[in-house]
Amino acid sequence: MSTPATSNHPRHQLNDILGHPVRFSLTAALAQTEEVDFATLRNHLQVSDSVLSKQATSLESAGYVRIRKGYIGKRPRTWLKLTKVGEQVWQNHLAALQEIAFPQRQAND
Amino acid sequence: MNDTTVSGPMDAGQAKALLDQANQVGSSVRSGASWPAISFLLGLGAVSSMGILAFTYARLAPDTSVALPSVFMGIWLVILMVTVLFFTRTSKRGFGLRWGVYMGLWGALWIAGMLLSGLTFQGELWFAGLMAALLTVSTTVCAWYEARR
Repeated sequence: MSTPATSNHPRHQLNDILGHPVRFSLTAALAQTEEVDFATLRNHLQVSDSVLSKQATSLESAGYVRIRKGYIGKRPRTWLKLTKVGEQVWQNHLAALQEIAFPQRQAND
Repeated sequence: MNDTTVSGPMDAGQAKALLDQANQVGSSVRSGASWPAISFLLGLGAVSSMGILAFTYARLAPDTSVALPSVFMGIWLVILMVTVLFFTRTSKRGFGLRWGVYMGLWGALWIAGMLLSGLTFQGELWFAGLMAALLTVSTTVCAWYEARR
């Protein structure tokens, strides 16, 4: 007899939006900071402006990231910040990954 | 950037790789994030402590104006503020709140030092020395605390 698939497997807690590699790394970077500017994120994630812009907009549409545009002197600068919702979603995503990565540890807790 | 996207059910190894990647990216973005704020705090401590001593010495010496030390203090403050404004590209979590505390502490000491050395302890070098020491210690502690975050 096969074991029935259970819907409470930790993989079901993973957030689909954060499954994309750029969105995952972008959220990981923002989760460790208060605010990061666009160019710094682009350099750390090693992606093009257009890729980062597209994925950041996608996270903004989901309500996970807030994008703020401003000027430093005459130069435009864009800042990104994780929203409260984004923080919560990220924590849940990390918790699900922890459960998958270390099932024994979770069972003992 | 490493592509750790997985298709199909995720196994423990893939989950560990993603967790490692998240830590790596987070550490990478945080590294060096605080240097403008640390430079500002140390510079502010140096400028304000030397400034309060310069103002007191100027009061003690006849025919000496506080204009020149005031001008150079202002120039240095502008340099420090521009440095923070132009070079801060990442701020660590909770920085906004901590920055408010740092500036509040410095502001309270500076105002107390200027008011008391101008009114109650006019020309008292020991008081200026005490306030300079307090400004130095407070800004240095704040800068080192921020460096360790």
